[in-house]
Amino acid sequence: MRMPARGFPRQPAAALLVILLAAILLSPGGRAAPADGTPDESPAFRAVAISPDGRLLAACSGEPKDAGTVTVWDMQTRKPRLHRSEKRGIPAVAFAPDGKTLAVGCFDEHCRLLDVATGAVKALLSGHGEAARAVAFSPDGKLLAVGSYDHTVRLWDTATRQVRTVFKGHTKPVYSVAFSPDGATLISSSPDGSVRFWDVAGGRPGQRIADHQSGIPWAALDVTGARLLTASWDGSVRLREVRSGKALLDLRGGAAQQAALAPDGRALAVCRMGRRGVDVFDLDVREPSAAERKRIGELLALLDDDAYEAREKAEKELAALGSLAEPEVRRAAKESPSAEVRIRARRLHAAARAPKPRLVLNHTDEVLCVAFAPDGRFVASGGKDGAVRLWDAATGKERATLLPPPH
Amino acid sequence: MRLLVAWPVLAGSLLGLVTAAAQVPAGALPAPILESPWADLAGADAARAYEAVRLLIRSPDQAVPPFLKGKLRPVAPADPAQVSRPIEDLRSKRFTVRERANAELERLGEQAEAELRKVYAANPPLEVRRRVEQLLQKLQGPIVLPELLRAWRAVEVLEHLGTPAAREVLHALASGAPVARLTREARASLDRLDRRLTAPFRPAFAPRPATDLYGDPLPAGAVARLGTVRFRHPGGGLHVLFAPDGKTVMSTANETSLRVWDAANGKLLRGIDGADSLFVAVALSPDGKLLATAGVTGLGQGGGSVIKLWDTATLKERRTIAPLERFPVALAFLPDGKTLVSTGKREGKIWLWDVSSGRQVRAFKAVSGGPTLAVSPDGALVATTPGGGDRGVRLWDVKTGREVRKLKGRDRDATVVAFAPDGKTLATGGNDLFGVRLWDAATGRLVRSLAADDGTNFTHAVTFSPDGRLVASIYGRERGILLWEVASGKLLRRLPVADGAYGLAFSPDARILGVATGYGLRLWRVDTLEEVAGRAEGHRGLVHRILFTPDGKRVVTASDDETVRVWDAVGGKPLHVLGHQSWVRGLALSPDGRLIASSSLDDTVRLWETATGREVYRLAGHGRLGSRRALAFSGDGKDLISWGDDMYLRTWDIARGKALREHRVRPTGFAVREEGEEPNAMEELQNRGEGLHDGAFAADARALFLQVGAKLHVIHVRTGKELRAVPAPGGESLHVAPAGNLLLTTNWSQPGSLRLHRVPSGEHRQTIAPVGGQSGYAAFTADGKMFAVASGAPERRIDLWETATGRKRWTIPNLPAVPDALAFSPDGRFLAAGLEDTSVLIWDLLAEDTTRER
Repeated sequence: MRMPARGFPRQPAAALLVILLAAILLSPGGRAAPADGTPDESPAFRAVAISPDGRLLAACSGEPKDAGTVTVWDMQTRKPRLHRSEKRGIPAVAFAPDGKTLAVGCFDEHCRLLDVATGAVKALLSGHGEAARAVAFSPDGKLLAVGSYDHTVRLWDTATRQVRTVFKGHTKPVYSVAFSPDGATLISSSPDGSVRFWDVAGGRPGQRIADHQSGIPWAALDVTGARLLTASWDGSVRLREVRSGKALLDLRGGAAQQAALAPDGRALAVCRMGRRGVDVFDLDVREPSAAERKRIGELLALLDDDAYEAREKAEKELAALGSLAEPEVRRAAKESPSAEVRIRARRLHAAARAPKPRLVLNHTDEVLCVAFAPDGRFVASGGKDGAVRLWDAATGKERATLLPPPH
Repeated sequence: MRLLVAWPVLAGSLLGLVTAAAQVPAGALPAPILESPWADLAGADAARAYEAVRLLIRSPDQAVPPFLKGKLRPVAPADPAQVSRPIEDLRSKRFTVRERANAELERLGEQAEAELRKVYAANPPLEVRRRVEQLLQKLQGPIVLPELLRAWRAVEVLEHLGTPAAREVLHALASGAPVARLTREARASLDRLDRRLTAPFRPAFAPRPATDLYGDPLPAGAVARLGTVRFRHPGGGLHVLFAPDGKTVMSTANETSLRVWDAANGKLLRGIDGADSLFVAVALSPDGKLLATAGVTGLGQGGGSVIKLWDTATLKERRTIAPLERFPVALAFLPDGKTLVSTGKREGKIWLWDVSSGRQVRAFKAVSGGPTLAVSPDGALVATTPGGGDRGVRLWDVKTGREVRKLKGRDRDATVVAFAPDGKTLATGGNDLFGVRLWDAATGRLVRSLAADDGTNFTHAVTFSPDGRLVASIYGRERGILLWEVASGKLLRRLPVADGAYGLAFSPDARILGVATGYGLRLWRVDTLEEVAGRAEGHRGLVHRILFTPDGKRVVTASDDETVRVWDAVGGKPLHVLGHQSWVRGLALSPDGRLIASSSLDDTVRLWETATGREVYRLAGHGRLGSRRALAFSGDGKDLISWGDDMYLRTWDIARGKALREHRVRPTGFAVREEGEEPNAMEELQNRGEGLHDGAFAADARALFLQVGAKLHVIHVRTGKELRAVPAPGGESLHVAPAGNLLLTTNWSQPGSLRLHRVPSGEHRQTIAPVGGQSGYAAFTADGKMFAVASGAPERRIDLWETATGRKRWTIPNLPAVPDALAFSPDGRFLAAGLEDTSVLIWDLLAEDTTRER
C-alpha cells in the first residue's frame, strides 16, 4: 500500500502507527475501486503530456517536499506502461518529438531523460540550482529547455548533455517553457508576471510581455506559433497574436492554472484554482462579414437611442453576437462620446470576457493540468483526485480514467 | 413644526400640541420659583434644564407676561459706529489694539456680523482676513453663550405654548436685528406656528396599537413595526432543533442566545439570552424533554467549559456538568436518552455522560475527535470527523470504545457527518470540492458522490430526512441549500438563501426543512419549497436605508435581503416588495416621492414607481463588489445621480432612463483602478475601498462627499472633479442634513467621534462630545435641526441631538435589538429605525414613554 503523501505524521512512532494501522485496515480488501473511480490515496497530478504520435500519455505528481511519481500510459489499452517514483515531487514532463524519450523535471533540481520503452534513465541533467520546474524539447529534439526555481532557463544539448545557454531575466521561478514550431524562439513564463521570448540561436532575450496583473504559471504557443496563450493568477486567460501583440481573446474567471488550445485552434480548455471542472470554450475568432459589420454599426448606434426599450434590445442583440462584435464594442466602450453607449459597451465587453463554457469536464477534486491530444479528439486532464481523465473533446463524455499502477 | 421633535415628553397625549398644552392645569407659581428655572435654562445639566422647562410650561399665564416677556429682548441692531471702530482697529499696526478690537467684536457677536461679512468680501490684508474669518466661524458655530442659549430655549417654550401672549413675545423677538440668530429663530418659530394649522400630514395614530400586525408586542412609544419578529433571531442562527412532536423549534444565535418558537407560526415562546457562550453545541434528548448545551461559562472571570442540561418546557437549568477537561465541540444523545456523548477540541477523546446524575460514564481515546459527531440510530456506533492532525472519518463502538472502521476515501478532512435513519448509510462533507459523499456504514466504502455540476463546493452541513429519502446540505460561500434524493443521487432542488444558511434540520414528519440563517430561522415545505412564514411579512436581512415619502404616508426600506420594500407609514402594512439580486445599499426618493431609486451589489440601479412597485428602468450599477453606494435626485427631480465604490459617478436622465454624464472620481491620494486593470476577485476585495469609508451627496446633489482615510473630499458632481479635501479624522459614515447645510460623520469603531461639517465647503464646524458605544447610523430631520444617532451593543439606544447647540436632548433607551438605519418623518414627529432583528420600528416622538431624559 502506498502511504499518504500529505499530512504524514512527523514523529517516527506515530508514522509507524499509521503505517501499521493502514496496513491492517487496508490490506484485506486490497485496492478497492471506489464508486467514482478514484483511488483512495494517491497524489495530485500536476502536469500531463501526450506523445506527438498520440499513443502515449505521461502525467506526473508530487509536492516539492513529498515523494513524486511519473506514469506513462498507453492510450490504446489505457494501461500504465511505465511508472517511476522519485524522492521529491515531479512538476514537469515532456515527450521528445520522436516519442522515445521523456524529459522529467523534478523538485530535486535534476532533470532526467527516460527511455520510454525501457524506463531507464538515459541522462541526469543537473545543476539547476533549485527545482527543475518546467521542461520542453525543441521541435527537432536537439535541445531541451529547463525552467528552474533559480529564475533561469537552461538550454541543454540533448546529444552532448551540455548546457548551451543560460537565459537570465526572470525575477521569480520559471513555471513554464515552450518552443516555437520553427525552434527559433523559446518562451518562458513566471510568477513574476512576465512571458519572455528568447532567441535560441543567438542566446539573446527578445520580446517581453507583462500585461497580466499577477503571476503567469502557464504560457504556450499554438501549433502555428503565431498565437500565444497565457493563463494568469489574475483570473484572465489571454490568446494573442505574437506579431502584433493584439489580444484575440481574453477570458475572465478565477485564478487560472493551465490552459490548452485545440490543435485546430477552434477550442480552448482552461483549469482554474479551486475548481474541479475543466471549462472548454469554442473559439470563433473570424472577422465579421460586411453585412455583420453593418449590423454591428447599426446596433451600436441604437445603443444611444432615446427609447429605453430600443437600447435594451440592441444590447441583447450585440451580446448574442459575442466575440464577433468584440473589437467594435471595445472601441465604443472607450471612445463613444455618449456616456450611455460607453456604459452599455463596457457591460457587453465584460460579458464577452466571461462566456459560458461549451463543456465542463468534472473531476471529483481540483484540476491542475489539461492538454489536448495531437488529433484534437481528446482532452486529458489531471488533478487532486488522483486520476488522469480522458474526455471526448466533442461531447465531453469521459472516455477513460487513467490510474497509476497499484503497488 | 420642528418643535414637535423638541418636546416629545411634554405632550403627554397623542393629540396635537396645542391641545396638549391646554390640558396642562395652570397651577399658580410664585415669581421667585420661576426665577430659578430661568437660571437653569441654559445650564449644562440637561435634567435641570428640562425640569425648568416643565415648570415654565405648567403655568403659561404666569410664565409669559411677567416673566419671559421681561427676560427676553429682541437683538438690537448694532450702532454702526460701535462696529466700525473696532473693525478699523483690526488694521492697526499695534498688536494690543488689534487684540482689543478683536475682543470687542467678539462681544458684539451677531451685531457685527453684517459688517464683518462686508470686510471679508472686500478681500482685506491677511491679518485682518484671518481675524475676521475666525470671528465669522465662531458666529456660525454651535451656540455656547449662556445668554443666547437661554433665549433659544425660551423661544422653544414660547412656540410650544403658542398662546396669543407667547406669540406676542415671539413677534417682539422677530423684530430684532435681522442677521441675529435669535431673530431668525423667532421668525422661523412663528412661521411654524402659522403653518401648523395647515400642515398636510396629520397622522391618525390614536389609539396607539399595543401590538404589530402579527400580534407581537411593540416597545414603549413605538406606533408601528414594519416587518415581523417571527422567527427572527438577531446575530445569526447557528443550530436548529425540532421538538419530537414537531410543534416547537429551537434556534441558537451567536453562541449566546437560544430561542424556542412555535413551529406553526414563528411566535417566540421563550428564550435564554446571556453573555456566556453556552451554545457552541446543542442536542435534544430523544423525548424532547431535555436540552443539552455545551460551551463556556463565566467568560473572562475564570469560568470554564461546561455542559448544561435544561428543561425544554421551562428553559430552567437542570444540571451543570463541569469542569470539563476540554472545550466541548460536539454533543449527541444516545437513542435511549440516558447517555450523552461529547467530543472535545484538539483532543482525541470521546466522553459519555450519565444524563440523570451528570457523572462521567466512560471516556475513551479516539484518534479523531473533530468538529462534529453522529450517533447511529441503534446507538451502537459513534462517527467522528477528523481533528487534531488526524485524517479520516472513523466509527467507534460506544460500548467498548474500539474503532470499528474508517471510511476508505480521499476526503480525509470531512467536517460534517450524519447517519441515515436506517443506520446503513453515512453522509459526509467538508471544505473541499467533493460535495456530499454517501458511504456504506458496514464496509466503509464510498457509495455515491453527490456533487452539483457547476463546481459548487464546500459542504458546511449535511442531514438526512427522518424518512431517509432525502439529504440536505449547505454548500459554498453563498451558503445555499441543496436537496438530494438518496436513492437516485439526483439533485432535486437548489435553494438559494440570501441571508446564508448555517444550520439545518428536518421536522420529525420530514415535511419541513428548518434552516438557521444569518438573521434567524426559516422553514420550507419540502415538497413545494414554499416558505412557511411568508417572505412578504418582512425583511430577511439588515435594513441599511430607510426613507419616508415627502407626504409622510409611506416608508421605503432597502436591505441586505436583496429587496426594497414599501410600507404604509401608518400601521406598517407591507405594500410592495421590489426585488434585486444582491444587497441593496443605496436608496433615494424623487422630490415628489413618486419614484424610488435603489442601488444594489447586483450591478444595477433601478427606478421604481412608489405607488405601484413597478420597475421603470434598470440602469447600470456600480459593480458587484465593495458595499458603498449613494444615490440622489437633483432638486428639480429630472436627474438621478449615482455613485459607488467602483468610483464611477453617473448622471441619468430620468425621463429616458439614459446616462447623461459619466465621470471617474479620483480623490487626491486615492488610487482608483483603471479600466482594463482588473485584478482577481480576491485582490479586488482586499484592495478596493482601502481607506474609502463612505460617500454621500449634498442635499441639492451638486456635490459628492467622500470620506477617504482621515479626509473629507468634496467632488463637483457635474464635472466629477475634486473641489477640495479637508481633514476629517475618525469619520467613517457620512450623513447629510436635508436642509441646514450640514454633514455629520460617524464612526463604528471609535466611540465618540461625531463631527459636523459644513456643506458644501466640507469645513469642520464642531466635534460633538463623546457618546460612548458605536454610532455608525444617523439621520437628520428634514429641516436639519435635530439628528438621531444609533448606539449599538450593549447600549442599544438612539440619541437625539440638537444641531444648533450640539447638545444631546433625548434618548430612546432599551431598544429590543441593536439599531441600524434611521429616518425621520418629514414633519419630524416620527422616527423609524431598522433593527438587527430585521424589523423597522417607528416611534412617535410625542409619546411620553418614547424618550427619557438623558
